[in-house]
Amino acid sequence: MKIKVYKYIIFSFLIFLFVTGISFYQYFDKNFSYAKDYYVIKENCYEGLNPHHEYCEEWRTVYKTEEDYNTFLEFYIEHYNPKAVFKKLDAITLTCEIVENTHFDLLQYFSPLLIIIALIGTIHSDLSSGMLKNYLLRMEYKDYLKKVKKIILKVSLLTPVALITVFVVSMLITRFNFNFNSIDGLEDLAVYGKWKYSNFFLYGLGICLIQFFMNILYCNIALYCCRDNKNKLVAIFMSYVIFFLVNIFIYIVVYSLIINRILGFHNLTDFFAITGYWFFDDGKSCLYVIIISFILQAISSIFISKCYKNKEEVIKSSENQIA
Amino acid sequence: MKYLKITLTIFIVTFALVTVSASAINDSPTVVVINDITIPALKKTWTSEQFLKYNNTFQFVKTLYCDDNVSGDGRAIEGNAVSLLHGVGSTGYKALPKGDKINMGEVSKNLGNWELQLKSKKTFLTTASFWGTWVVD
Repeated sequence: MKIKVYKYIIFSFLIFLFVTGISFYQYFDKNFSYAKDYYVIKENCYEGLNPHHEYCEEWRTVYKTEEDYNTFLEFYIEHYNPKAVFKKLDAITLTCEIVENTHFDLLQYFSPLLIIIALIGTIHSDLSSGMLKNYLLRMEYKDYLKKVKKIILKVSLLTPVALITVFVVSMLITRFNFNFNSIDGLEDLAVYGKWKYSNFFLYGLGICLIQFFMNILYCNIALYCCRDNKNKLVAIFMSYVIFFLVNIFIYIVVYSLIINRILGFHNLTDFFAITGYWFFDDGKSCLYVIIISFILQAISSIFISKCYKNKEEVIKSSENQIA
Repeated sequence: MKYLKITLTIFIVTFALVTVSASAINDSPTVVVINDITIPALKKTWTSEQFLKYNNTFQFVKTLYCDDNVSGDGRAIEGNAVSLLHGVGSTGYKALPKGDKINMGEVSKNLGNWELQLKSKKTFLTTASFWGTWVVD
């Protein structure tokens, strides 16, 4: 019974899991796809099973002298062993690579849609089917609003849970290896940040908190569209369009044109690109964005509480949807 | 006749020298100048043409400028050098901060054909323009 009630939330969570799975596959496919060739080269070129294999011949055309060819072959076999490279991989680097450099980053624009679907799917039928009037016979209106708020809080946990899932899977894959210093060229890696790596749990908590607040914002947008749209799909579509417009308005109008070009404040992109609130390199940016995301969800919550304050108007909207 | 012999001798020597250097290892560095290319929006990747690496040396990438095309802000960029030689793979994405010459790592020393991929660190709706250099050899 509860599965039927929460089916849209479960559906959105399964999509999150699917994207997570695809991201892990993409990472290993991109970074370890050479492993197949490594074993072919080791068997044929290094161990001599077939010294005239096409890969061996390809290497000979590149390393023109036999001496260079053999030297690089030795070096290659020793330093490119996929098992050794995999052993050095740590949980923090893997988590950051998955979140920042794989298809997981699609969630930057896609997760608001999943949150909107989860919320509208769960509560829209209360308004469109007339069930709201039946609920209000058995409970106070403010109790009904508390019930909706609880659903919003549950839905808002979807993204943090997805992020925690990525971290847990990374820990399992790397066998709880947190020794990131064994990775070659760690400081040049795009995902590396000194503060981030040294305070990873605090950083992770910060990101989960930011995503939680942003999800409340998306839920409030969805709740706003729920009230006056009879059709669930229309409500979902309108909500996503509003999110997109808010995103464009904040980054392009408010920041790029006004704050940057007119007022002359620069290098604040991290704070005004709201879809980029998934990773940071330093603690200060993370802290400022926690404050910004809290303010955004607070403003939207105040707005939505005003929209739903008047019980009669809400019931009237519901009746208009049934009519 | 005397001048003809001298000219012919110079020609033969020059021809011989040219022939010798054509089969030697390339001693001059291959530096690719990347001028005003557009880094796509939505974290898509820009990929360079292929360049042949002759020497066992590190590759470097240096960002001179990378600015957002709407706000004009500096854009954080990442680069990944990809080898087209079987069994080598890629260097992995490295941060390319403005003004720094970034070593692309041990993997980048391999010979053969390489291409460079560049993308924004974060997902933006806007494109950016990039100027920099890529030292292949």
